[in-house]
Amino acid sequence: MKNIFFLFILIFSTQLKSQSSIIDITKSGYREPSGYYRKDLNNILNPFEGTYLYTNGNDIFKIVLKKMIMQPVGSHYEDLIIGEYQYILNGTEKVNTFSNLNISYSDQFLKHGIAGNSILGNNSRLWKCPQCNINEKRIRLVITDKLTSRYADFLMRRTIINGQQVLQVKIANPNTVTYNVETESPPANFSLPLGEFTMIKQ
Amino acid sequence: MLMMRKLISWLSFMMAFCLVLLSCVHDEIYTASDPASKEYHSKSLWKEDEKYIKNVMKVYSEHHEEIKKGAGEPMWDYAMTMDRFDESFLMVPVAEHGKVVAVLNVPRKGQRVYFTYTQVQNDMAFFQNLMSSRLKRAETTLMDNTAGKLVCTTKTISMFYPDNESDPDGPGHWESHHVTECKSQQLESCVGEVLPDGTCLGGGGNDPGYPYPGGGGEDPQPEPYDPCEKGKDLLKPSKGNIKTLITNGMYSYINNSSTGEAGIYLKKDNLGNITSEVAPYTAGAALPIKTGGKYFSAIHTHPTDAYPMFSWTDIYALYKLEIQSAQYNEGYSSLLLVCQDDNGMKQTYVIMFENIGLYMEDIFNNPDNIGCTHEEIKKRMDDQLKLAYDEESLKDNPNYESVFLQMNFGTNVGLYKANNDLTGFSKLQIASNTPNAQVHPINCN
Repeated sequence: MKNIFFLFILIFSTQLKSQSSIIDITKSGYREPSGYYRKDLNNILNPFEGTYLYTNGNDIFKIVLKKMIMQPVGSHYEDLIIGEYQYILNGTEKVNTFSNLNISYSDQFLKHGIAGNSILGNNSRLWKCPQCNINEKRIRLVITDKLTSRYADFLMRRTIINGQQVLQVKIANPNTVTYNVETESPPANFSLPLGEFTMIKQ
Repeated sequence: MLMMRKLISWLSFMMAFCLVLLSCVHDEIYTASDPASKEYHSKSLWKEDEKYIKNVMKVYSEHHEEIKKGAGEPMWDYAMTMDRFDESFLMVPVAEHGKVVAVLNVPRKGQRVYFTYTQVQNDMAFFQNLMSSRLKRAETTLMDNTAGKLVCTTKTISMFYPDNESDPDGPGHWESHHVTECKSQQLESCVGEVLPDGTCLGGGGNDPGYPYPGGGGEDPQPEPYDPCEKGKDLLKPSKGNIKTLITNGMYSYINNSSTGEAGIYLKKDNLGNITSEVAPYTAGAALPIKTGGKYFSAIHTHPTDAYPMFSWTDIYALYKLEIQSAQYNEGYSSLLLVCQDDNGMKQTYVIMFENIGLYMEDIFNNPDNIGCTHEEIKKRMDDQLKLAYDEESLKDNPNYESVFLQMNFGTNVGLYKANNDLTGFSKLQIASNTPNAQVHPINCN
């Protein structure tokens, strides 16, 4: 009887296992079957949550980042950082997407102003970090310029400077765009701040 | 004893229940079409060019020992001519024990027909569903010819999946599957098996076609450009002459600027004369790629803080160069990347469309992308490719060429790499889509 019982448990557990696939967010998910879940198994994303502010004279760039669990992305799920931003240039507000922060879209990655969860190594050529600790994790998100529909890498590192929690940020590599010289005007430039800067946690 | 009987009964019931659940993931396949049968009764959901199908069946039956590659038989009843009624093209699933193992494409070129086995997953899945006994319906046929040149036909079927398999008439949901075929994009010179990356196995030698009994009319499809020939044209002093442009301006820009891109636009007129136009440096931004008019190609750099390989929006830029090019430049487009690899070596890559594989339209029609704008699709695809590059960058010796080829395996995007002195190109290939797949360069000669 025991044998029958164990045989049943074995078959049943095998079937249950085949129903879902969970991978860590350090993996890209390529080749995983539809419906898989890229999960933040080691809570790498948690320290990045918060509100951060960068000021430079009359220029202000403010972001709010939230970690979201098991969000729909295409036909699978991911733990994601999502966020929105406000950009004030020379005292004039150019764009403010904060009203979208609490909207739950059918595809959270595509629709939010800031979204992503990719892990960067210290030696990543996107942003080398010789000063980073060996096991330190930095994140690559994507920031979408709502004025031009262009997007760029939003690379970030959490650290402490002069006792203050800060987010070191690099916005770079805007996406390639095309235009038909016979029917279209040259595309607008990416209008959010590019380059490296430090944002103070609020 | 009674307790044991109860337990066995309960376990038996649970196992039966689990088997019912498991059956949810298996389609009911039936082989209504006997491969040996000579009778043709269309089971396609659309109107087909039956004359062409019957003539091709005749050719196949006469030469099947030479044509047949691998297991399975053509399921002729499910052959589709993709809205072409000029006796020019068909695709038919090849199945073994009800499982589609390949798709046989048969284009006609003049008085001869050519048999090409493909194993594109999307096409195989489409026919597998078409052959299923599930309730299905034909959806609207999409003709994508916005550019007026590359005409792609997409056929979509929807399959009904009941919530409860034991109640097929009860509530459930519909799932869509599609197949796309583009005119003037068939690989006609391969009689063997075409791997998803376009590699031709077998065949070769003399003209691999077979006489077409129907006679046929004019050549229905023009000969496509060979990507290697296009690459050579870019390097020839009398044509593109791009070597000096790359080694002078672009190498120094990469050395001296940590961000931004340098670029060169290439134009070709209707007489075949190629001219270049140097783009202004872009500081922190990406080079906008000009398309339309005489533009057929562009060369751009990636800074040292970007990956030394194409992004997905680079592929999209190639697509725009192709579909918006002048008629005399049709099939001639390319996009070049000049960058510095992790070893500090300058590299020049080219992407060009091959004559076989999944098209961009397949990606636009992917269920994940239905309802998305092209901007959103670009964002998703760019991030998926960059996620794979990010994962690769964590390794001691990242191989971004391999990652690019893996992520684009089965598509019609071909990757080529210039030799060190920029005098020739090699096609980069991987034998199979596996992690860490080794890249094999094949010299264009």
